[in-house]
Amino acid sequence: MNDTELLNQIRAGQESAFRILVETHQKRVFNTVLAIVQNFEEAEDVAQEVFIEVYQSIHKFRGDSKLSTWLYRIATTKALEEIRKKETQKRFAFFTNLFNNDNEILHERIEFEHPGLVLENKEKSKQLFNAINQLPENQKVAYTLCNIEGLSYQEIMEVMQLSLSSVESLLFRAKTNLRKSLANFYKNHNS
Amino acid sequence: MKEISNIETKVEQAMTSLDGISSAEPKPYFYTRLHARIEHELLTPREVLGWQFKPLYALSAVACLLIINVFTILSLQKTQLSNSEQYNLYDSKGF
Repeated sequence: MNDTELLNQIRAGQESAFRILVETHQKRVFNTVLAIVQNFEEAEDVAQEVFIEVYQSIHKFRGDSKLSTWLYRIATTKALEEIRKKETQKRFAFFTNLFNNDNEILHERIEFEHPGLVLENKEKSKQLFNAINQLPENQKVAYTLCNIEGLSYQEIMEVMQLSLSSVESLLFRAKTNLRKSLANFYKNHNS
Repeated sequence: MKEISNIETKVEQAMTSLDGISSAEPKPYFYTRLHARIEHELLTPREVLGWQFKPLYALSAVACLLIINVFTILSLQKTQLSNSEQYNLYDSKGF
């Protein structure tokens, strides 16, 4: 069954077709979100929100782009929204701490360890993920899609709706910023 | 010099640490959980009353209104008093 047939069946209200769509793309969506939000539980929540958005707006999808491109676009948008939400919560951390009865530290960032990493790279990648997290949104999305999801420049252009030169520039700046950020970290933690 | 080279090596190692990364698997029964959430959020009738009708918010709103009213009344009284004092409309006997 191709994408058009699948989408038509979902629009006609066939739950089994929606299930096929979810099961075909859940891994892709989950991994995209996971690389951006860097938290397993939140990634699951956001991935669900992506498919809820798909369910709600499937009638608006005209098929101008590929289904996977549309899914990547929703996934990156939702993941960035989640990060913004977390940032807002952090800003109000003083108040939430004030009203929290447990003496736990809220909003503390935990180092992210991607489950798909080779064992020897796990420690090194923690700093890289930390540095990715500090990148501006557009650079973060472009770098993640290219280096973790393995998308081609053409696919990134379609997902981000940017020109080739913009994508190239974003990736170049992302790599430069990551190198700077990592160098600073290793300078300060040189043992 | 050696230190700089050491940092550069670490940076390069970190930059290439994602090479060969494989996809993570979502927890099993993803669709079942998604389906339950869709049913709960989209297909079950929503609460008629929104958050603004929760007792805490409603009471806070009433308290705010009362405070505003008290301030308004107090400030009006003050204005009336100061007007009568300013123009000295009444003498000490009340005429």
